[in-house]
Amino acid sequence: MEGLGRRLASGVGVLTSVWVRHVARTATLRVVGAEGSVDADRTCAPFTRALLDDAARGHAIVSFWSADQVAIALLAAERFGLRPALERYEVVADDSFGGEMMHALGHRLGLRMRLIHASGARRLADVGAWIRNPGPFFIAVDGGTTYGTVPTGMVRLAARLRSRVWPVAVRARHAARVPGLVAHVPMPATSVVLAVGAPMLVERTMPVAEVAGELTHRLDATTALAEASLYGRLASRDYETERWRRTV
Amino acid sequence: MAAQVVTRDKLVEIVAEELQLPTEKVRGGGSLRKDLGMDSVAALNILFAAEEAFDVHVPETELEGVDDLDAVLALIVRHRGSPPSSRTTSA
Repeated sequence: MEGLGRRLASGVGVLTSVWVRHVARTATLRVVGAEGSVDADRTCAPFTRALLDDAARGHAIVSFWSADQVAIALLAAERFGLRPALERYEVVADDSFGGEMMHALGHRLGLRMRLIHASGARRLADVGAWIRNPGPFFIAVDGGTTYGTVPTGMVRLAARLRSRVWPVAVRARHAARVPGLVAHVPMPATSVVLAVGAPMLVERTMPVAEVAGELTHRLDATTALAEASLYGRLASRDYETERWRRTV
Repeated sequence: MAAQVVTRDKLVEIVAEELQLPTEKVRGGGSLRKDLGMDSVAALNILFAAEEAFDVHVPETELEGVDDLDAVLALIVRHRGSPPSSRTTSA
């Protein structure tokens, strides 16, 4: 992305960072884990410890759907306990509109951002440099591809780095949709759930297509876990009950 | 590891391993991206494996637009400065 589009995306990212900081002051967090070891009210601390352990032992990737990319930025606030992991991990974004927006948003939140071009010779240069000098990272795995799918390149990269891949989902009870943006934008004072799925260790010998399918399944299951946790707590409210029935 | 003579057979082996395909399918030709499913990470993994096998350095950006086995072979040969051989053993 070049010129005006890039500037516009950056501008939206800067404005979103102001909004995210505001929302993070009043949002409440709950963390749920598929395996229970990261379950905690109001803090990501157990998950952060697991991520720092992974980074110390080898390579790790935290994967999520693009729909969650603004909500996950909320967790950069110190009080949620994920910050130590975010200081160790990079956050990867591409040069699509959403990626440029996230790059500006993450930069403003003090995150370690890495921009990867989505195509062309610059993509090869970016990915080549990344493979030669890899660090652990967070990534919206369906950025720059069909939403809701895990691209083979992501799996090949994980396999090359022998990564432990964590599927996560972040959902807010009250969130808005901005036209042209796939991500949900959390509203002030909302309840937020971080769901952490079972991690996968990806090896070079594993069939790429099968790993992509399995990670897609785990991301969907993690999203369902987040939504069940979020809407299940409000089952007494009729409209929320309806939402629960639709999403679980 | 001793560098090997640049051969089409060795390159087929590298590509087949990276793309998790039978060597016959790779040897058959066609578009690496469209027909064999090569993405940018696979392209770079192939390049890195070829660099190690043939003791050559090829800038990543030169892979742009390279989409068949013969073009990859030509790229490696150009950077190594020797013509491809039909030999398959280590030099």
